[in-house]
Amino acid sequence: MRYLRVAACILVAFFAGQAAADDAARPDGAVLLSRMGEAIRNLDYQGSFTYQHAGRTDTLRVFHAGGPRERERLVSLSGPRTELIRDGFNVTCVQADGSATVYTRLSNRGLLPLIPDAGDRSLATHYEVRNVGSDRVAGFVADIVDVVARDRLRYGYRLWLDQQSHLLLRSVVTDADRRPLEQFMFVSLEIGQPPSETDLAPSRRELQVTTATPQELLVRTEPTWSVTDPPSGFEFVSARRSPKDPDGTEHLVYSDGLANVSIYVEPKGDGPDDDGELVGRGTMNIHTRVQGAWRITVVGDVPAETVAMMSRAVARRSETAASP
Amino acid sequence: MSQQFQEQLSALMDGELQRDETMFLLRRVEGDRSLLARWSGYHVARQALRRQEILPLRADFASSIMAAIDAEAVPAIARSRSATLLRWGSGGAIAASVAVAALIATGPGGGSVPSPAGQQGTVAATQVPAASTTPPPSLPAEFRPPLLSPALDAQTASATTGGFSSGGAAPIDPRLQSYLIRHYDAAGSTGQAGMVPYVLLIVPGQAQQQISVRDAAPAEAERQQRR
Repeated sequence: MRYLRVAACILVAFFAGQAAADDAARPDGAVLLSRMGEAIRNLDYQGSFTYQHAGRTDTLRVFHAGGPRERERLVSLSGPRTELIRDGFNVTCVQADGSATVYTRLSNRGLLPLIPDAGDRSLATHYEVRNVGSDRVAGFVADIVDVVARDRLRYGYRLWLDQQSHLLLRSVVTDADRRPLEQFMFVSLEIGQPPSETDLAPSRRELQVTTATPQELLVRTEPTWSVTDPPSGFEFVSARRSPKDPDGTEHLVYSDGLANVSIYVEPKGDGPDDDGELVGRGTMNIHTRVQGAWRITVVGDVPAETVAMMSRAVARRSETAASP
Repeated sequence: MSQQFQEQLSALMDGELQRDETMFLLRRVEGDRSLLARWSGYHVARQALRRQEILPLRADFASSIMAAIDAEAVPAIARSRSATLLRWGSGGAIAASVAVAALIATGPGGGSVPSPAGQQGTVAATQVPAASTTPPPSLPAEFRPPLLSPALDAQTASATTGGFSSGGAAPIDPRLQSYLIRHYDAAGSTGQAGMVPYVLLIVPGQAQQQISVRDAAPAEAERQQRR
């Protein structure tokens, strides 16, 4: 009997050690995330993916040429034919009716998902990042990385990253109860093959192009508006405004290290009476509030409650300072 | 059911079946319940192996796939008919068609809520008790499936029919487009961003949901914050 107990202990110890070794052999989730960002920017790839959201499934195709001047084209394969073309700092949205809008951007930001710098201190405070196993997506063997939110004010993510290139193959956004809200998944993908010039250009030659409002510039001074009591973990990142905008107009950005919230403060003008309106688009939520002569619109990849909280907490700094 | 059909089904699952063989096989599947059951079984097995939610196939999945393949076979003609055409490359097209068809399976509500039997047709028998999909303790439980709403029943895999996009050709609201572009841009410049940016700009506008017309005080979130 005693020998049996000893043998059982040895077996338990063996399997426990084996499990620990397996965990140790897996690359760290946070490291994988930082590699994913580089892969998305630097690699050449093209593929089709499905995007499930709000009870529907859409299919899209992406062409990406990596490098210092990234070029990309995103095409909807289902529903109206819309496209988004990015050439360095210019983004052109082409609608199904042939109208196109060109935006000039401040950052060299990709069309596909990016994830924050994994070394960001706030990320670990509000999310737990784990490598939870492996799977196969679009023919590629993938590591599965879980990014679990520690409270209900932000979403969680499960990401499938190609084990060789670390390109994102699939992602699922989940709510606080880990129910999936939206999903993106490649169904076919080629990595390392540069797209042709034709694939990176709009499919329509005749476009009614308009140029969007002038690009925003960073506000170097203290912004006019702020969120008086932002939800836990969300901190002010930047303020922007276009030189042509009237005084007081601002675009504030708050972030918790992963989720971002934009706050647009604009003159109300003759716009619609949308005070208190809450709109969802995928996992993106948009809350609008009218405060005197100003319309405050909060846009964020966060739960509806979070954008509503931030919207109600927006105030002019002078008012904030005056209040006790 | 011959061994040959079983092998072809297996090859179709892997996306390795030639176009002609696929069309032939799918026609055969439509008229052969045993082949359909086996095909559904393969899907259930694959979903279980991947620890994914078990989603029964729609009864008309074969026609959906054939429609997608047909659309791909004649791109020049189809383009002239409609601007909303699937444009998958030939290599991955069949596998992609299959993948999308599989996604169209109905699954309203939470994972424990079975789909209405009347909508499942011949595939109802392929539903597997949720308990059989429980992943091993080494992995977190797989997500529940409210991604797919009952409304999805009406959605087809192929965009050529435009079934779910009727009226969706209207351009996205310029104000929202501007907000999203500037939001993604600002998020990107700080090295941080959410998931699947920009995709929202080009998927049809029906995705936009009115959550509430007027502000419903989110007391729940505030309670959470105080904790």
